[in-house]
Amino acid sequence: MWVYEKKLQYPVRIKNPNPKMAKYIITQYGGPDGELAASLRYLSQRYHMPIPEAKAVLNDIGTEELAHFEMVGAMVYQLMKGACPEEIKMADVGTYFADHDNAVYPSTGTGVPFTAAYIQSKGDPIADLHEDLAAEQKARATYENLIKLADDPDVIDPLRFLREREIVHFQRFGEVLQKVREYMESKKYF
Amino acid sequence: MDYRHPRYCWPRAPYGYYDYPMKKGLELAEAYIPYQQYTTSLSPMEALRAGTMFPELVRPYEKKGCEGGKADESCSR
Ligand SMILES: [Fe+2]
Repeated sequence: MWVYEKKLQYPVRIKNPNPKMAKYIITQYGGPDGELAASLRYLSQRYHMPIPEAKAVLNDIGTEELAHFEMVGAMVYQLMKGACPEEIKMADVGTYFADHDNAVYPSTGTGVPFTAAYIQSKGDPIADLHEDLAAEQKARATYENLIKLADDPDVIDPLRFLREREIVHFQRFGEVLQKVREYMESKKYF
Repeated sequence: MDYRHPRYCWPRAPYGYYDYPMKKGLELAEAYIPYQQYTTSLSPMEALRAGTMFPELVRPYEKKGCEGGKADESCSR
C-alpha cells in the first residue's frame, strides 16, 4: 500500500500557458517511454525478482515514477490551463482539445492512448532488468528532447530534475542487475 | 595492424576487453554498471536542485540552442 503526500516531488509552477509545449510533454505522461509506463513496468516486475533488494528497488523506483507521473500531469495541466481556443488552434492542439478540453489524458502527443503494450514483464529477472535500464535511457533521451523544445525556464527546470532522476535510476538498476546475477550464479553451485 | 581488434572499432571498449582473460568477475555477453561508492552527500536543498544527493551522479544537461532559430552547425542536432 501507499502513503500519499499532498505535494509534488519537485515544484511545478508554470506561469504562462503554452498548449504546444503541453502537446510535446504529454508523451512523458502516457507515451511509450513515459512515467506511467515506467511505473507499471517496475511495479509489475517486482514480484518475480529473486532477491529482496531487487524487489525493493523496483518498488521504490516504481513508486517514484508515480510521483513523476504526477509532476508531468501538473505540467501538462498548467500549460493547457488558461489557453484560449484561438491559441489552441494556433498551436495545433485542436484535435486534443476536441476530445479532452484542457483535461489531462494519458496519451502521446499525437493522441495515441496509453497502452500496457509499451511494457513487458517477462518473468526472467535478467531480461526484465535490461528492459528497465533501457527504459531509463529512453526516458532520459526524451527529457533531453523536451528540454531542446522548451524555452520557458518554468518548464525547463522540472524537466531537468526529471532527467537527472533517470540517471540515478539507471545506476540503481545496474547495481541490482549485478546483485541478481551474483545470486543466480551462487545458486548454480550450492 | 588488425583493424578487427576492438581497439580500432570501438571508441571506448568495455573494461577488460583488451586484456583477455578479463578482469575477475567480468564475462562476455554481460552488461556491467560499477557499484556506486559513497563519498559525501549534498545538502537537502542542493540535492533537490540537482535531482540527487550524490555529487558523483550529478550529470547536468547543457542545452545548446540553434542561433536565430536556424538549424545550422550551431544547432546541437
Ligand atoms: Fe525513471
